[in-house]
Amino acid sequence: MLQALENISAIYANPTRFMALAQKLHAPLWGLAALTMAYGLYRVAYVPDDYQQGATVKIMFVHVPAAWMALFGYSFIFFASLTALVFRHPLGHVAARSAAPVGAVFTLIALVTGALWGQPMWGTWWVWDARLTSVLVLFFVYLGYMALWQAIDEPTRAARAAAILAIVGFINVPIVKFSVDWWNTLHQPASVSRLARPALHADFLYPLLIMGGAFLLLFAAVTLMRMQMEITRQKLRVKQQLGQH
Amino acid sequence: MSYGFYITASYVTCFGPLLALILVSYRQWAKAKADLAALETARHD
Repeated sequence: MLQALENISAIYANPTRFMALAQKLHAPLWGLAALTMAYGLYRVAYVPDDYQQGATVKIMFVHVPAAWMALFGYSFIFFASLTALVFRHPLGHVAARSAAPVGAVFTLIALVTGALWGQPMWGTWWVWDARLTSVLVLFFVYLGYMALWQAIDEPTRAARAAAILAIVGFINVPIVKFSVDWWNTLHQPASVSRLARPALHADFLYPLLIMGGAFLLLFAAVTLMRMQMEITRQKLRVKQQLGQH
Repeated sequence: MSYGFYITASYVTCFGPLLALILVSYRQWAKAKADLAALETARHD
């Protein structure tokens, strides 16, 4: 399995081969993301009201998948940066940089929809509890990561500095995940990840998982498009530099 | 405010930024491709 992954990774280490693959994946990925999202929203429209939360339970179907993608996005950046620094994979930095704005947008969505859910349910838009605060810190880490890429002109130095920041910043991901277990928070503990017996009824669980799948496909589609953009920009930069000499 | 306000606002603040991200990313990619094509054309000329 590991050998197979290494082989695939080696084949697509070549940006030209990767671009050819990305071109083939582009339309099917967007199509699948759109279909899954449409089906997810259709299922959400027929979700019954919750006995405690009433109709506001519908906010869960955008808030929770966005929060999953916020954590997934940063984990993706962490592993891509690690691959770039340790194995010198040429696409590691490209993948990490491309995923950052996507992860940041999902984190912002999780924060805003969380506030919109908190006000009717908790009576407040915001509390400085461990889960909310650690997600806000995650958003700032995303912004810091993107700012670092912009702040350093020399691309190799920028990539290295950003990768180190991404790896150090990963410490916040388990803090976000386990904050509801480690501290007393207003935010509820995990409901879906208890795979043996999820706390959600199937009427809520399946639409939530479908929306989670749709958000994941959307993340993949946008990140892939941004990777194509980054590689094109790199080609452009190299050709411009060659033209100057 | 009614629950409808909070639900509508949640979906708008979810899909609005997502749509903006997709459009901005697409425009940036299209510009990068156009710049590269223009540079290559200029080289040939």
